[in-house]
Order: sequence, then structure tokens, then C-alpha cells
Amino acid sequence: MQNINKLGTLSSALLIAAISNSVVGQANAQGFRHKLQGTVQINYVDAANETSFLEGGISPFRYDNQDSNVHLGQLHLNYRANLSSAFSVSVDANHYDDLDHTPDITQATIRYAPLPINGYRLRVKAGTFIPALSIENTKPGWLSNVSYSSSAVNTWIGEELKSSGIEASFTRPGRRFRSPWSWTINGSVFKGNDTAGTLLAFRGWAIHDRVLGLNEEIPLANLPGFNGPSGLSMHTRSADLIEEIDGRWGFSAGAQVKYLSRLDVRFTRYDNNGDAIARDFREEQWAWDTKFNHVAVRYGISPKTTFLSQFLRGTTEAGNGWLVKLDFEAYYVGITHKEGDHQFSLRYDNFSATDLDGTPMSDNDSAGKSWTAFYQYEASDQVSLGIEFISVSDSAQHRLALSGVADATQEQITAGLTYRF
Amino acid sequence: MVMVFKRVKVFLMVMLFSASAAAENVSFSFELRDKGGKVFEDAVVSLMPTDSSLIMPPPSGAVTEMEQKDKQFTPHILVVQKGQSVSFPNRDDIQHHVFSFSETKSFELQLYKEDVPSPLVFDNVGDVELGCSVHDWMLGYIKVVETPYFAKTDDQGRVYLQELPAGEYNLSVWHPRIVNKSNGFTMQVDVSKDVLLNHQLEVDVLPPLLGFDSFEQDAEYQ
Repeated sequence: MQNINKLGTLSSALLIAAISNSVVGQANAQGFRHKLQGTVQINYVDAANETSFLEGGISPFRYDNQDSNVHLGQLHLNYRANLSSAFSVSVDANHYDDLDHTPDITQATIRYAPLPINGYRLRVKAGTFIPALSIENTKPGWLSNVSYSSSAVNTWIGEELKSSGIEASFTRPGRRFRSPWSWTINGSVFKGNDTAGTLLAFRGWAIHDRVLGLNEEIPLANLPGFNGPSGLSMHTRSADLIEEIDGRWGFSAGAQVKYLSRLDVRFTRYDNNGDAIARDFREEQWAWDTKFNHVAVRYGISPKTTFLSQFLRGTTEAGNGWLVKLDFEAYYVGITHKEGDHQFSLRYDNFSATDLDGTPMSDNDSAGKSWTAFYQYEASDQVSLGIEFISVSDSAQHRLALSGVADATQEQITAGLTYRF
Repeated sequence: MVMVFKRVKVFLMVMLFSASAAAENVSFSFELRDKGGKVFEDAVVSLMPTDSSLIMPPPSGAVTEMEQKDKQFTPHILVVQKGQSVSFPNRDDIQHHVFSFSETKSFELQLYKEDVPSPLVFDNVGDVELGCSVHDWMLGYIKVVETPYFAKTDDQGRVYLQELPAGEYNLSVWHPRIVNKSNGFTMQVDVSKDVLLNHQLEVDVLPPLLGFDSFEQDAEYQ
């Protein structure tokens, strides 16, 4: 944590020092403004049986059979301050009635977004944040705009890819140039997510809307490998999701093309540049070398109906690839339709992790698919009512090791009452 | 003395003629088509009287609105008379950051959700291109004209101005997608009686880049 805090402070200071001169003197610019906004959601859940990953299980859901009841689905606060025309800070905090029941910061950034320069747009943010990959999670607090639970792809992005660093994008907005085509190039350098891959290997893919805090650790299932003679016994029984272990910078680079606002296609190469032999012996966490390619497509079928899809394929390894080595792949296709105050969404997820390592005591193979159906009624600008049904069918070697059965089909129904302010 | 009387007589005649002309109101109908013959909607049509005494200032205290709604400027094109106040209410539940670099009026407004800022006075004639720093696809225009006699062509490409003081006018037609240096044209028209005028553009018009604006994702939360 200390490393990350230092990193965030240093990068923010550098950014301010480098660019502050250019923002002085904006004509008619407004001064300091700030605002607190938030989301409160109460859920009634009809949960599946398998122990949730938040309770040391391998279930893809945040709720399990202990949870078929009323819950605090979301409590999110966002503080935003516009320091000047170009500079703003944003801090997100969340609280849930699970894990250690403690409110936690989830993202904190300083952003530099000057007005267009000859029509071109530069946007820079520094701090601790989830990388800009998701086309679902566009609501404040990284909540989904399509359903309650994010796709498997974005659930994982939110869980394990949060990091500290700088992300920048450069855009040629088509409309400013009388063209239907817009393009963006973007990139980032970051530290603090060396453990990315731990959950994919030791739990598998998940589907939920639990935004994880900077200080939260996810308990890992009591897998046989942790108790055996293999090197896995050197790993602690939890995943610390934002630890820096190897001191190396990771990076991402991407491009986006848009036609009007109707078609949006993005490609990203992501590499955390982990040193797969590095370990934090005190915390018993490992550095994972995680890299993948990611494609996102958003298309307006009609002004009310949107098609969304993301595809992600990559590899991760830790312990020099001998202890854990995994190929992973996930995609979803979804559609969301808005009719007045009503929103309907349907999504199909498909995901897999393929074990390639030489640790027979820990088989990290898993594969599955999922259907999510969602309906929401916006009763007012502040209040909405929704219901979500998810069915996940998967096969996981960890389940076989823990309970003797690899395959499971599980369903979760969530009815939610959301208040935004 | 004779000369003086003659001059007074002429002066009185001019006064009488002017008074009768000022009292007489006529109507002006205009229909605009593009080069291909299709009706042209949303073009700004304004009539500038040759007689500047016919120009009344905008009513004091009147405020017109340029909303941000569903990640669009509404209306897409707003016409106002010089001196008019314009408010920029944010009707969305997200943040907008409206700006203009135009010489006619340069400003920026950071607008949190549902903010209604103090109106701005547009006291220079010309056109103002609006953008949003959060949503790159948002684009809007404010056309500031000298005259109180203006309208936008409807979905039939038509403008109908009633109770226009009869006289000589400079007709101006403007739309940001008309492909020439001034994004339009001007011509003299005699509106001493009811006028019905059809016009077909001789220059090209860019295709509209509208539609699906509400799909624009919010860069702030990415």
C-alpha cells in the first residue's frame, strides 16, 4: 500500500507541475466547484447454494445460500471537485455488508482534460483506478449501465486490474472535423496489480457487481494444493488485489474507432509486465505475469437498442510458470433496449481458464457459460426498481477437488431498489 | 420662402409615406431546398430591414434556453437577436462542460447534473459553435442576428413570418452544413407586399451527423 500511495502522489504532483501553466488564463473559466453524489441499493436476493467467493468459496456469485435475504447491494459515494477548467479530482468509496464490513476507497484519481486543442482531445488521469476497458460499467462508481452484475470479462477487470499509474488518451472527434469517423489512441503505465491472475487461477471467472476496495483481500478456497508439498503452500489463503511486488511497470496500449456515436470498436493490448519469479515473502503473495488482448464492440441497432460485446484472451503465470500457468479467455454478447422508463437487457457469457502448469495438485481448469436477464423501471430520476436473473453453468476442477463434483448450474435472482443522488 | 415651403411639403410627404408604410404589415413565406431538390430543414432565415429604425431590441429580461438533454444540445441550432440572454440548463443526470471558442462569444460552463447556470448575453452578431468537454459528439450552434425578424425552416423547409413591416430587406440564409465560406447566402428582397419565395441551393450540403447521440458514453467515468 505504501508503494502505491507514494506512486499516486508522485504521479499526481508531476502531472500538476508539468501542465499547470497551460490551464492558467482560460477565458471565463469557472473556479473551484465540487459535488458529492452517490448510490444506495437495497437488494432482495434468492441466492444459489455454493459458498460465495467472498466467503472463501469458488462460487461466481457474491451471494450464497446464507444470503437469501435483504442486503445492502450498493452504497457508493463519489466526491468530485473541479479544480479548474481542466483539472478535477474524483474519489469513490463503497461500503458493503460482507467481508470485513468496512467502508473503503475504490478509486481515486486526478484528471487533466483540457478543452480541445485545434479540435483534438487530450485526457490524462493519474491515481488508482480500474483501466478504461469496460463498455458496460459507465455509471458512477463503475456500476453497470446494462444490468446489476457485470459480465465475466468486466467482473474480472474490476477485480484484478485495478492499479496505480497514469492513463492517457488522444482523440480526434469526428464531428469537430465534419467527419462521421472518430478515432482515439490510448495508453497507460501502472504498478500495483502484480497479483492479477490469482482469482482467475484459484477461483475462476465470476459474475457480480461487488466493487472491491483498495484494502480488501479476497479469501481463497481451501484448495488441496495449498496444503500439499508443492510450492503452492507458499501462497497465503487470500488474494491481495493491489499489491506491488516486483517493482516493474506494466503498460497498456489501445485504439478506438467510432462511426458517429453508433458504432464503437476498441482494441487494447494489456501487459502487467509481472516478474513471474518475484514473491512477497512476508505477505506470501506472488507476482503474476498477466497479459491479454481485448476487443470491445458497441453498436446501436436502433436509437433504443444497443448491442454490446467484449472479448478477452490472454495468459498468466506465477512461480516462473511452473507453479501456475494459465490460458484464459472470455467473451459476452449482450443487448439492451430502452423504452421510455423501462430497460430490458439480455447477455450471454462464455469463459474458460486452461491449466498449463506442472502442479498436478492444483488443477485450475474451468469453463462455463452464463445467461443474464435484467429489467429495470426508472420510477424517477432518483429511484429505480429492477430485477436480475443469472444462470451460470460451469465445470471447475477446483469444485471437483473440494466437493467431488466438477459441474454445477446455479441461479441467482436479485430484486433491487436503487436510489441515486 | 417658397423653397422652404417646398422642402416642408416634401418632408411631410415622406413622413406620411413612412407612417403608412410602417403601419402596413405584410407576410413573408420562404421555402428552401437543397441542390438535389430536397426540403432543407433547420436553416436559419433572417430578414434585416434596410431601414434600421424597424429593428426593435429584444425584450428586456427575456431568456431563451439551449438545453443539454440526452447528451445533445437542444435545439441543435438556436437563433437569437443580438443582446438576447441565453441560459444553458443541464437537463441530464450527468455532468456536462459546455464551451465555445467562437469569436462571437467565447465561454465555458461546467455543469453538474441538473445545473441551471446564470444566463449569458450574446451581444455580438455571428455564429457560435458549442461543444461539450465530456461528450465529444455533442455539437450545437447559436446564430446571433441583428434583426428581430428570423425563423428556422421547418420539416417542410418552410419559414412563414407574419406582421413584417413592409419594406426592403436583406435576406440571410445560414446553416453550418451549407458548404461555402459563409455557410449560406444573402440576397435583397422587396417585401413591400406579401411575398412567397422559393430558393434552391446551388452549393453542396454536408450530410447530417445526427442520430444515436444518446449512445455517446461518458468519458468522465471511463
